[in-house]
Amino acid sequence: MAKRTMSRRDFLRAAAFASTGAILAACGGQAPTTQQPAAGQATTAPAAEQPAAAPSGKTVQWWFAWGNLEAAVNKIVETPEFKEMMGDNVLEYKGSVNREAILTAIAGGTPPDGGSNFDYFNFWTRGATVAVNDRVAASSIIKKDDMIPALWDSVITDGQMIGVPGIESYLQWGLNYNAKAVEDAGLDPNTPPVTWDDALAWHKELTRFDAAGNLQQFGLDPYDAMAGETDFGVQSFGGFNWWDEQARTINLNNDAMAQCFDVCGEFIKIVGPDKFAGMRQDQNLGGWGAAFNAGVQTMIIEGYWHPGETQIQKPEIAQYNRATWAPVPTSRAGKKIMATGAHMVVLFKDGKNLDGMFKVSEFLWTKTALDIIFKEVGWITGILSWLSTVDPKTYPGLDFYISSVDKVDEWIIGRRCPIHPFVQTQYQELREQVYRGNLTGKEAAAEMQVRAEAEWKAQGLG
Amino acid sequence: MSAIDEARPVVTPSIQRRTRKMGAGSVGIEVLKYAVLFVLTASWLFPFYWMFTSAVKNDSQVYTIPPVLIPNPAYWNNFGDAWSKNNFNLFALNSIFRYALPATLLTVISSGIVAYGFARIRFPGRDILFFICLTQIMLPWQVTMVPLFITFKNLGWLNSYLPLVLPNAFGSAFFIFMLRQFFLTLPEELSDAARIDGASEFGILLRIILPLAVPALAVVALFRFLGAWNDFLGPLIYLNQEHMYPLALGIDRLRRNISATGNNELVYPYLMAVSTIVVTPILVLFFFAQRTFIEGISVTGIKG
Amino acid sequence: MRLTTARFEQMTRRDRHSLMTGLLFISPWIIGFLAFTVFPLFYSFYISLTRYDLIRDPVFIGFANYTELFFADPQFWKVVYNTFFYVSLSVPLSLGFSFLIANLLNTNIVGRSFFRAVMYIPAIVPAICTAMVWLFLLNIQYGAVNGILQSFGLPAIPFLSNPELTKPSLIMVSIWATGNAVVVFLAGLQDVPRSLYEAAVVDGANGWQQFRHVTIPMSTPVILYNLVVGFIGAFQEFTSAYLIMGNNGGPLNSALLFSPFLYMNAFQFLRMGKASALAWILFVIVVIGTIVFFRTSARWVYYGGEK
Repeated sequence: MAKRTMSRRDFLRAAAFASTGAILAACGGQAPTTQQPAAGQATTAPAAEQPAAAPSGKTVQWWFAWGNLEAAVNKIVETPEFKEMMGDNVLEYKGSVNREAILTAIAGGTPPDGGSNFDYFNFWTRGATVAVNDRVAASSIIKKDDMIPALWDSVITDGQMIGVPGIESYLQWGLNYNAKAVEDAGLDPNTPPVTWDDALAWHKELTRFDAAGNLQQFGLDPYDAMAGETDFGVQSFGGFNWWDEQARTINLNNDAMAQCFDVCGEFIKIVGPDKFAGMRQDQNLGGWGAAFNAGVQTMIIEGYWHPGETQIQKPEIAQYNRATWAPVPTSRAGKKIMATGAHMVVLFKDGKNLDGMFKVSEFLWTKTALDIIFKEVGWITGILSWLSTVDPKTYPGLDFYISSVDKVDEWIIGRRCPIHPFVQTQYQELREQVYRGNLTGKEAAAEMQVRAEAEWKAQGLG
Repeated sequence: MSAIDEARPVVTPSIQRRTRKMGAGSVGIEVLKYAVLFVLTASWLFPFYWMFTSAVKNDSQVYTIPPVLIPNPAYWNNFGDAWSKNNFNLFALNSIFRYALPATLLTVISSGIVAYGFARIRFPGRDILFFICLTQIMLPWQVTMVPLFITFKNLGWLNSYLPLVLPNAFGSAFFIFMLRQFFLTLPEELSDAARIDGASEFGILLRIILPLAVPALAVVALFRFLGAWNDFLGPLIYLNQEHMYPLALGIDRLRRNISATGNNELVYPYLMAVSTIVVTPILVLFFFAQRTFIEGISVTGIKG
Repeated sequence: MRLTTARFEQMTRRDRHSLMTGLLFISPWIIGFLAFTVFPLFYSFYISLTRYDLIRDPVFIGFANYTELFFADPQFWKVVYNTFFYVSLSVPLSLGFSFLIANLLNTNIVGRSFFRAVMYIPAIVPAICTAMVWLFLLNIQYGAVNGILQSFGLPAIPFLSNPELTKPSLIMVSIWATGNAVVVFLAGLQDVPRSLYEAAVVDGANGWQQFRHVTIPMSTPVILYNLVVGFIGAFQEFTSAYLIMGNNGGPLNSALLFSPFLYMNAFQFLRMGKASALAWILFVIVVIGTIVFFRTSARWVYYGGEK
């Protein structure tokens, strides 16, 4: 009998030891042993330092999808204006947050206070973010009249303002090209392509291989950057948007989409699908706009950020930068198509410090913040009073974007469909089916419609 | 545990004698054998060679056709730059102190206790339970991934190491199996003598079995530590804040970060430099503990 | 239930004591098994019958996720095909390769432990590190492998960028990382009693006959072990496939395997129900496969020299 109790007590003692150890070790967040190193990192890791530093004030957590705002944020938080406005709020900024990370944080009930450059409408539709109408109405800094109407409207759905527009928001579709490469290929940089046929002709001239067949330079990747979006394809070829927000219907099975698949596929065929995929798999050239910066790609369809970003990242390439209207089919020659859509700061329903986050989004409307972002990252925002102070010659190619706002024939505000991320992944696969010869453009368009509708239904949205 | 004796001649003397008689033919076979081994070794090690040499290249050495096999000049500072500029000290500390060590400690303790129960205590239903334990090894992790994620989310444990560490407190089927196999090899008389002296089962485990089982526990510790050091998917699912990242996510972040900013200098050299640093401790560990590794791996396959 | 109680009461004090002690010792595993296996298994099945995005409440939809996968999802069958292709080549090739290498290493070799280490190391270093290297090595243009081919005047091979070659490339990487099997085989071979070979020599068996009639039969238990472990592991392959081929499984989703597809649905599209349905399908496949291996093993596995 005594033996049995002994054994049990011993056992329980061991179990207690084990579980204490587990909790001590696993809750590293509070354990002193692991806390120390985190603090030691403060100088090298601005994002990582914050939790360890545990400031007396309230933290504001802001997550950003991309990596390049960090330099600007580091400068912004140091300005006296920012410190004055934020009081005892401390901004904890985190860049390069991928979609899985933010989604799991939202799902886990531990989102940051604010987020930017994510799938805004996806979050909104699922009820993860809150409307900011009241906060904006009460703000003395954020003014509707001071923003380009298309941008302001782009953050509103059913009368609800789903985020604070700003940070970087302007015109998104221009054909940017490397004038030096164009000249070297014997083409005239002053008469850029207007139609897809023109662009394809340039593409052929600009694509070069070495003796062993390695790709050295190519013209346009019609699926890179903004051109990679379904919004762009349908608008460019058909002059309409595939997502009807009022009727909540999807229209991808149409001639414009089919034509887009076929025409854009030609560009890839000239390079060779395998070589093309290999180029994109390269860690260096694969990223957004990276091949253009490397001088391998000579034409790219993207927007207002292109001149500034290229200048900051690769001045030797940026000096040859020119921009013009994105191509359209011959039947629509001369149509000036353009997209806009604001980036915004959205406030998460489960955020802890939405007041602080809103203050940050207000500060992003001030000249101080906008100037720093313009200088450090190269981005502009359609806030009229600030835009008028910008010198369009600051970055080569920027003047096209600043001056073309009044000349647009067709506007589109994209990325508003809640299953946009899904449609995008299907688009990537189906266009590859087309340029690898497995499907015709028409078949691919039909298939894309089927898939999008199935997903829409399966997600319980319609 | 059956020690695999390095020095033990595996080919019997009689066979050796026979092969020796074969003369020129056997020389040819020997040459062929080493030729095959040499080619295999070269191709098996080439990725590591490439990792290491690419780590000290600059971009123009990376993007040269044909590839540069011996970088000259070598940019040794890539190691330090890639590591410190990207916060890898923190990631390494997370990997070790928040993940690998606690997980290892808990696994060794819990699996040891459970394995003792399965190996040394006779009780009704034991074999059925052990069989169930074995089938658990076959269970694909995907089946429990989503429900466990939801459970840990409801507990508010996302973005902490609890979901990765705590389950180790309940034993791991594979290690329970391994340790049981080892405990079975220890003579029963040891325990019987202690039982007669009035020792409790736990006392026997603690004072008699464990000291003898140190090599087996070392195997478990080694494999669990490596498992945590190498784990990518677990942290990918549960950790979403950078200051909590372990090394594997740090490497993934490095590659995403660079391609996200468009600042694409030294992508490969930095990735390769960090990879080299992360792989090196394992190579060193393996070098010092090769026998432990090999015995651990072997015992599961042979005695199973 | 009454029966068990009765049985418990019939037990001697001593038996009862050992039952209690035994259960106490294995109780951590029992708790863990219930909490981290049994409960999630059933919970997973429930989720697979719902539409659940983690943010809104789950909605019960019956078997709609399953019917969507089987009849509507265009990628599902492709993913199943890719995974079966991968498993049915990578498992036997790895098995055959590692068995041959183990036999080679089991001959009188100088530096056996060195060669064994070389084979084993790829299996124990982080998959993310090796994935980064392979991604780099196999690039059609900047990869060292193609660089070497080209310097001999050979054409470059689009290992990772041609839909026909992506799966073979992943299989190649899996063979490279098959060191575990080599070590297990080698240990098994060293356990084969020498007397058997001696007897075979006496019977006049040549090298091939010894291999065929002694080595292979005696290795069948180890072959079964490696086969089952390899089969289950290959079906679950995630890290290398995900990191080398990317989110979408490379060109035309040609190397989109089951696990990355499941992960994509769960954590990129927030389709927890669909992901759980996928998990259950995988579970059933693995269980059936394992049962088949064990059932048929009676016919070809020799234990202790007896057929």
